[in-house]
Amino acid sequence: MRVEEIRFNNYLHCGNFDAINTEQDLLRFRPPGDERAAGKTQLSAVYAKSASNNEITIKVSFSGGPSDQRRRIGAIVPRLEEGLCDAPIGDSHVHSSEPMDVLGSVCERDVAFDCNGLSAPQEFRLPVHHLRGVGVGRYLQHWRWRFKDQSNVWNDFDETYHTIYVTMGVPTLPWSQQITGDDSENLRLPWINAMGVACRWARGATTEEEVAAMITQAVNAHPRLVYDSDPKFLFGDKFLLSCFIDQIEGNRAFRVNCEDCASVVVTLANLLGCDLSEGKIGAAGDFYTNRVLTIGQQDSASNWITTKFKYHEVAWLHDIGLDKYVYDACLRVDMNYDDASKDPLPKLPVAMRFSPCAIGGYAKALIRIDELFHLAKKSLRRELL
Amino acid sequence: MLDESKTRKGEPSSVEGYDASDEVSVIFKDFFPDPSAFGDWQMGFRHSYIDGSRRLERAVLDDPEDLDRRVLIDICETQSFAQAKNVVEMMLKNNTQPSRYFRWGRDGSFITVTDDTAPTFSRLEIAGNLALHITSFGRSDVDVSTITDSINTRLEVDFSNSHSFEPIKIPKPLPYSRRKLRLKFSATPSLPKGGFVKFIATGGELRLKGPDLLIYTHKTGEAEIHARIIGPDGEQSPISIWME
Repeated sequence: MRVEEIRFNNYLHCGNFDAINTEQDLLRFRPPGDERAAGKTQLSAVYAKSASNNEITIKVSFSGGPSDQRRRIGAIVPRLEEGLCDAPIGDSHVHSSEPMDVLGSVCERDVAFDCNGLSAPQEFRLPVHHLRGVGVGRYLQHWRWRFKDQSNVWNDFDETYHTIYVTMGVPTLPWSQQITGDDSENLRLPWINAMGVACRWARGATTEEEVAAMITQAVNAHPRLVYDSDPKFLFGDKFLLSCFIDQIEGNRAFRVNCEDCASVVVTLANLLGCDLSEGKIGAAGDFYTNRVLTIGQQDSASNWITTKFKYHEVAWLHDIGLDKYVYDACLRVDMNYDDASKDPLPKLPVAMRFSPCAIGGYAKALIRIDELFHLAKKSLRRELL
Repeated sequence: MLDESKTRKGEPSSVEGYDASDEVSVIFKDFFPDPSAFGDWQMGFRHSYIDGSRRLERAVLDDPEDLDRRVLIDICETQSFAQAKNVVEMMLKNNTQPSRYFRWGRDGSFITVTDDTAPTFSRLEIAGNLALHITSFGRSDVDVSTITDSINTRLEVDFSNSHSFEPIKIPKPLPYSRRKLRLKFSATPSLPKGGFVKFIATGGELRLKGPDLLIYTHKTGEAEIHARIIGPDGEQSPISIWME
């Protein structure tokens, strides 16, 4: 007997009782004969912590069972000391050191088999999941499947391994949960490879603010990102996320500008359920900054420069505004901005209030005191390409 | 905004004595540089993106000798010269450093963004319906002029050496009127891998719309369309065009 298929996401309209929709769910709508439609054991799933108050269910189908009979089936989590180093997960970033067992055991139930020994997908409860207590991240789930024989003895028959991603909430714009027949619309379904990057950067976060802060820090501190004045990952009003992910997984440095950085922060934070948006700070002409340390530069005195921007784009918590909070992965500001004789006091703008009038605000730290500026009227969440 | 004062190929002109029928309109389909143009550089990334009527072909080239030397190539295929110009304007608008310059290319059909006083680390050009952006992408600045020259050589393939393919002729329209004609085309045999199609029209403006080619004829004179498939090694072969 073996597990034929596990479906973590069975209610495509919501993620309150199961996993949320991802690009993987498109495979279910492939025409018959398309090899991608084959019923393989689903390897990964994404759960939103915001749904963790509810009981979660999965659907599982089996083959090789007894003809026209029923069997009692469940799954347990093997003890950690049994070792999981060779877990056959098709994801190179999952290591045995990843936290495990976030979904707990699978509650046993009776399963009916047809004359060919096949079962229909059966709903199983996961009553002891730990989604509420864990932080954002990627987890390894290992289940040992077993059935009860006529002597009431449990017999192991299969093992399955899964990558489980845990987000703070259901992804927000530019992501969507809508599955449509339109390929460009379906691009907005959460991407598993983007989820991998976001969960790695925000691992352990337990609030949306923490997620946004950790992703901003991860982008700014990334050893392969260097500053350039022009965007490298925008095409019109779209963000080339797939190209960014490809580059971030490579071994060579590459250039980004403020819009690229803001787009990465917004897109990945919102993938984990945050509500950030991109918004520009502009001026009638150009505006001069106080000393800043652009992304990719070592923190040494000579790298702190005053520069001139036609505009500067950052990520905003919720929306753009004078009293709103800024997440800027593109540069560090100098909190000694009012005294150039002092060494720079670096600060990465993370949840920093824009506050043009307040000491310690982002605007005062970034923009030279005699410069006029304005905020864009509208913030945006760039669509993906 | 771009300098609108100069006459561009493929657009009407008010210059006295100018004969619109002499205007040349160029359209490319499925163009991508010949990888041999990149010398020893390796293609680290290549991907196509479709955004409405625009197709972006993006490639990242890596210098195998130096991890910090990388070049990003973006080739955006649009429906027309005007749309390619819009893409370039959009890219210029997104340039946060106002210190860069742009200038017209030598034949009026290209725009180049560069710093005149330094090696060319970034170039932005228009060729027919294509907007091309070739720029340094790694930690070090790279002079991209060799790559852009090579790309331009491939784009500027000369049809005059090959007289064996007859052009399609569009009869003279009624006086003072313009005509929009839908044309079909097909490559026989199919477009070779690494090949592209180049259409050149005189007497009208070409636009690419899905599988069709449109020509907006000028008010005077007949129009003529030449087309070739350019193979990966630069060899030319004919392409069938007919009016619907």
